[in-house]
Amino acid sequence: MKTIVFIGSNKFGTSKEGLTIAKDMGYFVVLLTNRMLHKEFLEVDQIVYLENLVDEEHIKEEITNLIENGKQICACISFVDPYVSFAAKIAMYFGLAEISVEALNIMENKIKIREKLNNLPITPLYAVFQSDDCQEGFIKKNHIIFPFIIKLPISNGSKDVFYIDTLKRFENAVSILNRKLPNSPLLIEEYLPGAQYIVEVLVYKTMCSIVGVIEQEVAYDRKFIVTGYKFPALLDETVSKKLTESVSSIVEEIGLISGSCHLEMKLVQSQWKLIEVNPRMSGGAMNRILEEGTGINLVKEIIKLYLGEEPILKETRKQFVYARYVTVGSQGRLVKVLGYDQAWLHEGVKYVHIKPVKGDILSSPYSMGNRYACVVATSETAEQAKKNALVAAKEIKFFLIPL
Amino acid sequence: MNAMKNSICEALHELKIFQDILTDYPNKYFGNLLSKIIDINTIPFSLITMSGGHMSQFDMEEDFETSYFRIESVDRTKGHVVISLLRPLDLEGNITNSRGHLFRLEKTDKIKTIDVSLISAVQPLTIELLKRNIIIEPKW
Repeated sequence: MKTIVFIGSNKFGTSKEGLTIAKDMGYFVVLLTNRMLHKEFLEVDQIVYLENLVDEEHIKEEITNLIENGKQICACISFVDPYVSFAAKIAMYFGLAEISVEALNIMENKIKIREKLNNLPITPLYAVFQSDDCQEGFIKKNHIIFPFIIKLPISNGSKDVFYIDTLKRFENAVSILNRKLPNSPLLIEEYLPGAQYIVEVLVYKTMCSIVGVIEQEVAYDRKFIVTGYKFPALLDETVSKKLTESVSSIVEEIGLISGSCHLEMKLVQSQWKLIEVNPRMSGGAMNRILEEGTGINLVKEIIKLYLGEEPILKETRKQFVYARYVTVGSQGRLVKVLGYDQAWLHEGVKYVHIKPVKGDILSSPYSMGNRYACVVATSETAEQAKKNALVAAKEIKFFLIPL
Repeated sequence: MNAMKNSICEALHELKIFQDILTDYPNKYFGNLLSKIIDINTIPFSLITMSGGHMSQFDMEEDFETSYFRIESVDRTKGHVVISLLRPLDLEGNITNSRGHLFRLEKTDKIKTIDVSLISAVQPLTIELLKRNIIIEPKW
């Protein structure tokens, strides 16, 4: 039986869609997970619970057991940090499609990637803060100018990214991050103002394709929370050309021959700067955004890539898409949600997702995980797509009991 | 006044005393500390009729029905009590007649006089019903 093994999955979004799409493609779907989430994964044929999802020997053993039980393993994939390069490594061990394991591995470490791309103009000023460095001395020695950004080298989302504008905040952030990952070096980067974009990239046998460029709308309250995604990003020809060149140079320098990734780029005074690169497609509603806008199901094409097949990135439609994420401004226990059905009734709405369930504690956002609903809408114009999504999102109401 | 009527009157009088303590109980050193701690001046209750059901009262002016009350005064001689109506609200702040959907009670100035001979029991309810607050998010 043709089988695809997935390592890790979230309850919704890209990784969850990966499971559904693999099932629709006719594969026997096996999910290796360290979460007790069985009832949410009805599309999965077999769930294997493992406490440690990067226990290489254990995972090889589990896959060998599957093979001995008659499963023909066709791919081993992960859409979830930090298992992407690990899954590719396992795939390589079992002689499956060749994915650029080393390149994916570099992308999983924010310091490694800065060092790798140090010579490219897309790299902002950065420095590495060691856990035993003195904050004040470090700033002087490296001529660091406020404000700047500090982050953990291995992390995703915004929860471990801090905007620093004073020495006191620098000390606090170091203390928080040190508690989180003791003795880890920390990445310090210049703060770059400007519009931020996501670039979804697929590389097949060195052929680099930009599947989509999405403009992000970031809400800032000491944390960077993306609340809006506009697709396609409206870029003029010169800027667009520069972006293609920048992305090609990054992919080439990293050595990504086959695989997918997404880049977070900022346009600063007409120059592209790399904020982050992650060795996987963006999570959340990104597949919906791209599919509504282009007709391309990127998750499916990535699965094909991992199966050793050539991905087909042919646009079958062109629509403007806007995704709006909903956050709350107060903390409380969720007792009721209204507006899901009403949101669907609005023009152009293609996707509505409410994340929390009754009893969950909601709070104002300190990470992307505190975005509690998402509405994706389309239209013939960018303005109308945004309008459609906003009107629908405004239907959603969370009823909270204050704590 | 028969024994049952007398007991109901006494029970409601007792409830009134408790409620007054919550409202105003000054002490030598800490003044009205108790009122500040409790921060509520109403002990909500329901009344059970002789047939065993909950007594309902209707307010014509505001067009709502409720079976939740606040004690205002007790006339033990006449066997009458004055109650005010508590507006029963669901999560969304709409008036509800369903006990299952009741989320909080709101004080009103709607007053009714009740003959306690119609009452078989008094059922006090949690004061939380008057304190409950709901936050509706997001605020666009």
